[in-house]
Amino acid sequence: MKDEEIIGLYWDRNQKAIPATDAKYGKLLNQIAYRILYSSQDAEECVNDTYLNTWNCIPPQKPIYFQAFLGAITRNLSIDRYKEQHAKKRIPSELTLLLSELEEVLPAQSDVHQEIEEKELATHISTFLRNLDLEKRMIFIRRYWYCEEIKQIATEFGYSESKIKTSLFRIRAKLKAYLEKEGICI
Amino acid sequence: MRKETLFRAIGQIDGDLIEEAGQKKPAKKRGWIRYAALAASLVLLVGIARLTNQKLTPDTAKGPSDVQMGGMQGDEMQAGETQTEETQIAETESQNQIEKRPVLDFTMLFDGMGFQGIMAYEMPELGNPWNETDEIETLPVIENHSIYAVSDSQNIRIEKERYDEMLAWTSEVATFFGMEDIKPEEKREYVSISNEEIEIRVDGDMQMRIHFLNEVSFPKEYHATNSATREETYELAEYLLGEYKELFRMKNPQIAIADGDYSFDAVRNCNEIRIYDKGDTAVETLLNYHFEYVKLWISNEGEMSYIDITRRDKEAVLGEYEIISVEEATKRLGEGKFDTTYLESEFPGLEYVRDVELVYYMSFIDDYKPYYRFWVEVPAEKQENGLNTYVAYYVPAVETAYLEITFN
Repeated sequence: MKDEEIIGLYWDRNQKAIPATDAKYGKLLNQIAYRILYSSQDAEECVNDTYLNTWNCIPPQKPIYFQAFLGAITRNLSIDRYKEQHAKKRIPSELTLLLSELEEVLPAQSDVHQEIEEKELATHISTFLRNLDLEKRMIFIRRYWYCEEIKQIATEFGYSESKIKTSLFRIRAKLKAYLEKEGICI
Repeated sequence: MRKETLFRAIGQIDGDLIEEAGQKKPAKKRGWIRYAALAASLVLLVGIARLTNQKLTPDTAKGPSDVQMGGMQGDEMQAGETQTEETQIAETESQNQIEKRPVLDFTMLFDGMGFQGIMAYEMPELGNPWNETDEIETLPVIENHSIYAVSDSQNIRIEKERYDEMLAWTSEVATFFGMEDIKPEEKREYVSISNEEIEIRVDGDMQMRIHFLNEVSFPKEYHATNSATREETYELAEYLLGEYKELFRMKNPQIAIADGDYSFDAVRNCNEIRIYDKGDTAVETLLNYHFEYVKLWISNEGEMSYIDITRRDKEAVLGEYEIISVEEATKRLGEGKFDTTYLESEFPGLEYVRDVELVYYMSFIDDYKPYYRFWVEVPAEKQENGLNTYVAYYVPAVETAYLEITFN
C-alpha cells in the first residue's frame, strides 16, 4: 500500500491504518528500536507506542515522508526508554556506541552562546549532508539515523568494516568543522 | 546531554534524505560486485591447497563463475520485483564475468589522517628491499597466528609455550641492560621488566618494545635530528647496530632508511630506521623485512625513545602462490581493482603513480598476503604550502587475495 493511502486511512480514522502501517514498516521500526534498546519486548512496546502516537497526530499532520516520520517517533521513544532503563542498570546497546561516536562531533562551546533548538540543528545537519556525495550521506544516515551496525553497513556497501569506520570518522570530523563554522552550539 | 541532543536532532533531518538512505545502495561506477558468500567448491579447493601445501596458480584458484552471489542480487529477487528476461540475462552474464575486487582489513591503518598516506614535497624513499628485478615468482600466504586473530578481543589467550618464550626473551634483554635481578611483571597480555630508566615489554605476538624512559642521546659526531640526511641517518643506524647488535639476533643485518615525511604544518619528521636480516633469497629477505625486524624510534630532536623488535610468526605457510607481475598489477590498478583507505576522491589515474612496492599486508586478523602497494600522488590533497599527499593503493599480488577467505 502506498504511503498516501495509509495516511488517508489515518485521516479517515479507519481502524485499518495501524495494521497497514505495521505491515509496511513494522519490521524497520522494530529494527531501529531493537538496536537502541537491545530487547525485543521493549522494542515491540516502543513500536506499538509509535503507532499510537501516529494515530494521535494524524490528522492534523500529513507527513510527506512517512517512513522518516515514523522512524523519528520510534527513535525518540526508544531513546527515552533507553534513558529510563539506563538509569537503573547498564544496558549494552548500539546506542551507547553511537552516542560516544557522536561526542566527537560536538563543537567547542564558547562563552557566549545560545543553545540551538533540535529542529534548527536538524536543518543544519540536513544542509551538511546534502553537500556530501550520495554514498557518504547514506553511510552516515544508516549509522546515525537507522542505527545500523558497522558490520551491516559494510556488507551492504561492499566495504570492509574498517573502511566504514574510517569514512564515518572523516564525516564526523567534517560535520564538527561545519557546525563550528556556522557558530552552532549544542 | 549534548550528544543526545545531537542524536535526536539527527532524527529530525529532512525526510527525503532518510528515505533515500533507506534505499539499496547506489551501484558502484566501476561495476564491482563484492562476494558475500563463497562457493563450497572454491572453499574446498583452498582447503585442499592448505592441507597439501599445493601450489595454486591463478587458473586453479579461479572460480568466479562458481561463486554464488549473495547480498545484492538475492535481496533484489526477494523484494518481489519482477524482472524482464533481458535484465535476467544481463545479471547472469554479469555474474559470470565477476569483477574481482580485493577487500582488506584496514583496522591497523586508522590514523590521524583518516587514510594511509604520506605527506611530502616529493615521493620519499621507502626503504623496502624489494626490487622489480628480484624475479620473485611465488610467495607464501601465511596464516595469521596473532593473539588478536585467534582470541576474542576481550579475552586474549596466550599459550603457555608462547608465554614461556616471552619470559625468556624479556629476561635475556633485561640481562643485556644489567636488569637481570629485577623480577618480571607477568600480565595476561604481556610480560615486562622495568626500572627507573628502561621498560622492556613483550606481548603475545612476540613484539618487544624497549622504552628508554630517559631518552638516549648520541655522540656529537652523529646527526640524529629531523634535518639529518639519509647518509647521516645511515651512519647513526650503523652506530646503533654496533651498540645493540646482540639484541637483534641477526646473521646479516641490513639497514633500511625511509625518508621522513611531513606534518600538515610542514614540519619534517625524522628519517625512519629499520633493521632486518638479509636472507639467502629475495623472498627470505622480503619476509624478514616484514616479519622479523627492528625499528629504532628517533625523535625530531635527535634522541632515541624506543627500540621495537618484531618477531612475528611466519612459519604457518598456507601455500605458495604465483604472483602477478608489476605490469599486471599496474593494469589492474588502472582498472579499479584495488583497495584503499582513501575515499575522498576518485583514483586520479596511472599518471600519478609515484612508486610501487611489494609488501606483506600486516592485517590485524586476516592472513598475511602479499600485495603491490602503489603510492599515488593525489592532486585533490595538495596543500597550499606545496606539500603533496601520496596515498597507498593495494593490488593483490596473488589471485586468491582477491577473495575474502578465512583460512581455518
